[in-house]
Amino acid sequence: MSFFKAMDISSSGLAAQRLRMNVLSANLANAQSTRGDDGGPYRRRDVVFSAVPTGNRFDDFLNDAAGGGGAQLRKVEVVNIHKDQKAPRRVFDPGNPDADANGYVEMPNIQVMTEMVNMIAATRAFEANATALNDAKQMAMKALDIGR
Amino acid sequence: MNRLVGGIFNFADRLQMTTLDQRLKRSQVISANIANSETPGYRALGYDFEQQLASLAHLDQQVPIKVTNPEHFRNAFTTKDGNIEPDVYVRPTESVGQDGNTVDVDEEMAKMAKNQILYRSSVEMLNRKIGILKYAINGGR
Amino acid sequence: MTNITGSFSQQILNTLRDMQTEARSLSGGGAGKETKSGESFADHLHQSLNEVNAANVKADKMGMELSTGKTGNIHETMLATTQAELSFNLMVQIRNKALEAYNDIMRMPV
Repeated sequence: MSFFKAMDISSSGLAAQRLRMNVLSANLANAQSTRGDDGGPYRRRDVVFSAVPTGNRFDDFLNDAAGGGGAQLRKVEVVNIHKDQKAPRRVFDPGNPDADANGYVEMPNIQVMTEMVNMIAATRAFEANATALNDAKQMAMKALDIGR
Repeated sequence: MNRLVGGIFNFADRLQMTTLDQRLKRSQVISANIANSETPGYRALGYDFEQQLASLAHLDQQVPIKVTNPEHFRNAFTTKDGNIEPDVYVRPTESVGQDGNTVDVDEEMAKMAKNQILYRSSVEMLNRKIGILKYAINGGR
Repeated sequence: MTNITGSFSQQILNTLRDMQTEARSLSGGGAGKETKSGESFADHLHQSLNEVNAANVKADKMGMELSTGKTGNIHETMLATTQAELSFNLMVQIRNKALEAYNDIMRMPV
């Protein structure tokens, strides 16, 4: 059983939450963007997390062969940044250069409150992962003191 | 007198001494990566030495320790590299940032922590060995 | 938790009792006298030499495996190192006591 596996898993969590934070910031910054990158208005992005095996396939193979039983430990990875496919919000604003024939503008479907709450959640998750990594490191340091 | 004291360290001790040097170099590479985590076009570097040490120590095979030659690390006592030639290489990576930067700060921090723990463990093992030798020299009094 | 502590102190007690037996039998006669446990002191010393060597080899090997990244088992490596250190210390003390006993015997006027 390795201390370093725990640290790898925690660092994958840190990276995932940081990426999520970037995506949420992009959403907030573009909450009013009527021109997105595919013609229409900006579409809300969201991250898709996935639990993936911790990479060292030989280790996992050994674990299973030794009758490790239980579930394999998995780390987290962002497999996709998903664009929201809902219909955009229509706002009546005839003076806007992007207004259509009826005077409606298509605005992104971004609720500022939702994004802020998600940012808080991402921050907390990031802190939790950082604490977990720190704790694993403390345990390893303590183990070095055995017999001193 | 140094040769006398130098001769009582066996192969495993010299490996630990060599490891100390290598871990220091690795921590420098990781620091460079962290410092350049925002630099456009910077490719993350890696530093590997463990596989070479493992094969020198015959850890992959079932050969008992007394067969390995302490002379492989002839220079370990004078803190040179001995017979291994690790290299600094560009780490292959799948995720490239928009500005061509491939550094993942969190991964580098975790690597730094792991390196530090292993550095401390090598120091600790050498300390224990030196403690045993001191005890023997003092005759247990 | 009490079970673990109990067996550890039990081991120490057993080791001390063995040493006490050896020391008593040694002061009662010559160096080759058989003890209650059926071995001479020389055998006991020889055996503990082998154990110390084995413990040292094991500790060295585990240390190398940790440093080259073969295992991440820090606490087991430290336990093996501690075991090597303690068994070495024990052997040195046995040697000292044997030497003391020998000197005592040589100083006897008969």
